[in-house]
Amino acid sequence: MTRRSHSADVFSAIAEPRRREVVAVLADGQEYAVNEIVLRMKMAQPAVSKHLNALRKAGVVTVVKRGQHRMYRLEALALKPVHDWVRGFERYWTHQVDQIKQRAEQKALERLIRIDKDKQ
Amino acid sequence: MAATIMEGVLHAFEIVKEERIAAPMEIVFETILEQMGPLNSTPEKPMPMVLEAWPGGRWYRDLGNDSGHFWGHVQAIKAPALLEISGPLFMSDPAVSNLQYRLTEEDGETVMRFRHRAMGWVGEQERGVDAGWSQLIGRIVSAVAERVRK
Repeated sequence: MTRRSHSADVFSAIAEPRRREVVAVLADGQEYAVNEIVLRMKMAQPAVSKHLNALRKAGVVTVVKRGQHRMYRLEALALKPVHDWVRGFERYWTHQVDQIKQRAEQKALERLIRIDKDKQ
Repeated sequence: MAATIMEGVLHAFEIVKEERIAAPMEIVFETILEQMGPLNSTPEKPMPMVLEAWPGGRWYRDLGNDSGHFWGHVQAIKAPALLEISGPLFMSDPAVSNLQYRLTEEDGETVMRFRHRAMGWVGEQERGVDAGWSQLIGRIVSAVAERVRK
């Protein structure tokens, strides 16, 4: 029997909403120092560092040292498993919800017209 | 026989949607049942389903001749406010989903809150899905492409 370990769990890493905000800040593909992310997120530096650390462990971001600064960058490939799993459902439900809205509003309108006609 | 113990492979996600609909709750609820049932469709084609609208009722594709695909059971139903379904949906993986449509009336309109939560072990290669997901991923993909061009 073999034992296979997945240490980098992307799903868990981005389950926290503030971590998804960090990902959104880094989504333009540029490198950012912690203080730049702190400014953009309006969040305390220790909290940002904690989130960055969790994302780094999952491989969602990478860090390089440039002079005095540790620069963080998004590794888009790490998000692919999440992307692949969710997007099929997202697409299906968006379609479904649109259809429900469209058809329900149409039915409500038709009912109103019918009531109006009955009154006349 | 080979057996492999997989660790850390459980994944989870949540999709939440909220829509204001200019129609009474009763009409919206009736429409949900139709849309999840005989009028179900994907963005590409009709895909009629059977939805037995009572507790424990099945939600499945009936392909005839005892063939089909079971998607879930009605876990809770309370017309016209709640429809809750749990089951594997269309995932051929050890995974389970919980779907909820909750309706409330606000300012003469119906607010429909939809939630899909799923968890399970989903392999990374099997899913041949083919369209854009979210703004976030879209932005990431564009940013990566931009970086590659530079």
